[in-house]
Amino acid sequence: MSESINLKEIKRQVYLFYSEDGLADLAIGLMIFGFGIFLMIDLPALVGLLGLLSFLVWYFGKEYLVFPRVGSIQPDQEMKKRFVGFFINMCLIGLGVFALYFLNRNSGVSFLGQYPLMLFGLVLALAISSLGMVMKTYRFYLYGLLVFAAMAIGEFLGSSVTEVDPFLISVVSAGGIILVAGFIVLIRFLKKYSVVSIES
Amino acid sequence: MMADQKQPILNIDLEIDRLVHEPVRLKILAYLSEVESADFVFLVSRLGLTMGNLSAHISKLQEAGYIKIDKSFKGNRPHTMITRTTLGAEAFSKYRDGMLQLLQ
Repeated sequence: MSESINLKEIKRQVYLFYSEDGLADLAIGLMIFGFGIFLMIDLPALVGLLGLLSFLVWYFGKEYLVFPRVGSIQPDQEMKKRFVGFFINMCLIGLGVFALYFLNRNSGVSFLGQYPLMLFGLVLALAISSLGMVMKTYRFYLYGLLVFAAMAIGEFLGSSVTEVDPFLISVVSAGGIILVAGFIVLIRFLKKYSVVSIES
Repeated sequence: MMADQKQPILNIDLEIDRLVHEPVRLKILAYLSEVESADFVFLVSRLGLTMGNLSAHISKLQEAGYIKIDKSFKGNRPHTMITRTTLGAEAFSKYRDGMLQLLQ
């Protein structure tokens, strides 16, 4: 019997724990897809609920689908620092975007340039890619690129092409693709791991 | 010429901790070195062991003071969290350094 112990592979396996179930993909996809849908059906007030809804999907998914199959871990100091760093950076970027938005609105000077939605897409893409970097999950870079492309295409097409705003169609499509990818990853995860019987 | 033949093959004073040297226990300590703590199910799923087999190895590591076990309930399911102790971290580190020294 041969046994191989690869510390780098073990580290990779631990990082995989955070993303191999596809729940983070589903949460991101749901937020972007829902954002587009709620604006499309003219219910912008519901956009605020998306964060909560995505969190609930992620939380209950972990609790009922993931933990019984692959267990749970408490991250080490390095991982905690990575997540805290990500959270602080996202808060700073969010504040920066809000500051730009209010400056733009109140001063009359266009700080956002000619393509505000594309800029918003870029910020969102950076946020998604940063999450990918923190979790060492490289498909998130593709999601970031997809979101940026969707917002850029939507903005360039403008609102006069069809009855429905092409920007929203692009956003819903990008969110939909991420949702489908998340479901595929989740289904693969569920097929790969079965529920471990209760410990004695 | 004769003196050359009496030279030991490995001229290293290396003490191997047999408890850590066993592959499964070494893997358990390696996984625990990458996390703050992990539960029983995590180790079962990653190591591909049965509950009984893992329990036996965990008990040996616990007896040596290399890991700490916290038992609780999550709802009505028993939940066991395993944490590597400072002694366990030292043993793992010493073993790794010893092996590196041996192979250099």
